[in-house]
Formats: sequence, C-alpha cells, structure tokens
Amino acid sequence: MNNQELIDKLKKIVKPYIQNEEAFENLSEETRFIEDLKINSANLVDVILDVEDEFDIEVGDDEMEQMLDVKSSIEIIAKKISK
Amino acid sequence: MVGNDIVDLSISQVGDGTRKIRYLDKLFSDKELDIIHRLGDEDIWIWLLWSVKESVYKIVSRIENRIRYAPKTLRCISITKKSEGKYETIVAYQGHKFVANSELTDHYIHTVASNSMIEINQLSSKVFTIFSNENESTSVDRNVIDYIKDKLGSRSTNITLKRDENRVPHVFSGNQEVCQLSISHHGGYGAFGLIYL
Repeated sequence: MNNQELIDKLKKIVKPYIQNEEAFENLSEETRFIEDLKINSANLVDVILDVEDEFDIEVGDDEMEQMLDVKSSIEIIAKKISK
Repeated sequence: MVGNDIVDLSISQVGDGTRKIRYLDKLFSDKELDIIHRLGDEDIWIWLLWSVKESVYKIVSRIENRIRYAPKTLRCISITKKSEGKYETIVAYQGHKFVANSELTDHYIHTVASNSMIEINQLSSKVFTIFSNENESTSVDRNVIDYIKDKLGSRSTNITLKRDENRVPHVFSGNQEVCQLSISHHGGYGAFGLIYL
C-alpha cells in the first residue's frame, strides 16, 4: 500500500470525528488531528481503534502518543502492516 | 495553573462489548478501571475520570509546551466524594501531584484542576449553554469576557481575549493580563476555569 492509499483510508476513518470541514477537505500529511481537524480528544481513541480494525494491527500506548497527525500515523501504520 | 474540561453526557459514548473494553484499555490503567468498578461501573464514572485527566493534561501541556497524547501517564490515584455531585480526584504525573474538582449533573461533568492544593480553592469557574446557532469558540469567548467584566465591575477597562501561538487564551484589561484561564466546550456546553493574577 502506498502513502496515498494509506492517507485515503485514514481520511475515511477520521471523517466521523472531525469538526473542521475545511481542514478535512485539504487533508495532507501535515494535517494535525487535534489542532487542525479539531477532533475531540475522547474521539482520538475511536480513531486509533478504527485504525486497528481497518489495518488489523495493534497500536501500543507509545505509538498512540505519536499518532497526532497524518504523517506520523501513516508511518506507524506502514511499519506495522509491512511486518 | 488551571485546567478545565466539560463533558456533554448526551453525546458521550464508549460503545459496547469488546469495543468498550478496548476503548477503556487505551485510556485507563487497571488501577483506574478498579476505581471505576468500585464507583459503580456506569459510563458516567468513565467520563468523570476522563474529564479529570483532560483537565490535568491541559496544565501539563502548558508546562511542557507540547501536546502529549498519553492518557495513561496521568494516573488518577484516589477519588473522594465531597458532597452531592462533587468529587475530588488526586492525579499523579511524573512525580507531580494535581488536584481536580468535578461537578457531576444529569447533563454534564465539569472539572477544574490545579497543580496547587491552595490554588484549587481560589479558582472561579462557570458552565454555560452553547446554542446550536452559535459558533462554539465565539460563544465561549463572549461568556468569559462577560463574566470578567461583571466581576471586575468599574475596575475593568476594555476587556479583551487573545490567543497566543499555542492557542492558549489570555484575558487582558487594557494592557494588564487579569487571569490565568482554561476554556473548554463539548456538544451543547461551554465552560471555563480561571484564577485572577
């Protein structure tokens, strides 16, 4: 799966939780979940759980801590699915 | 320092079955899950401990000047019922202690937290309704400004609310910063906690 495919999948996952449509429409690797998409912090856990389900991976506490933007999230996902 | 968090209970869901177990496992330690269990296991206690963690997290991220999403590193050590619907929670984070006061109603949970046992008793706070036709941020800002104008009375001149580069809000009367402020909104509610400087 290439980066764009990962981003497209991630975009679908975050959609129900975003509160800033404009940032969502312009979503890129640089987009941050809390500051830009305005995802409520309680919903960040939902994003992580949906990522786990979609890619059939397990995200540890240390990895969750880093998954605050699109770039770090797809890096972590890519690393996990390549194993 | 002050942190606060509001939870609108009408839009807070943890899901069922395994989804709920996985959700809780990401947020809480076994010890905290024990506390929730002892309190009666209803979802409301999940949200109470969550809002405590959120409030303390806001203080910590200001001190550390970064966003760190690691809910389990903030450890709720004990929770005490102070009076009907009022709870005090002690939180530990990297050798520091924080105290959080939560107000629990049928509709929302509001928590204010501080890193000082003295300061926590000097905090002012307020919860208000955000109407569906209002922008959340605008509504919160207006409520904060009106509250401070009212408190300062004739001593206030030209109260303004500005955000710094980290989006932290600051309130000024003229050029003078008047308080340290933490704001929050969720669903139909907005809230703030503040301490005068």
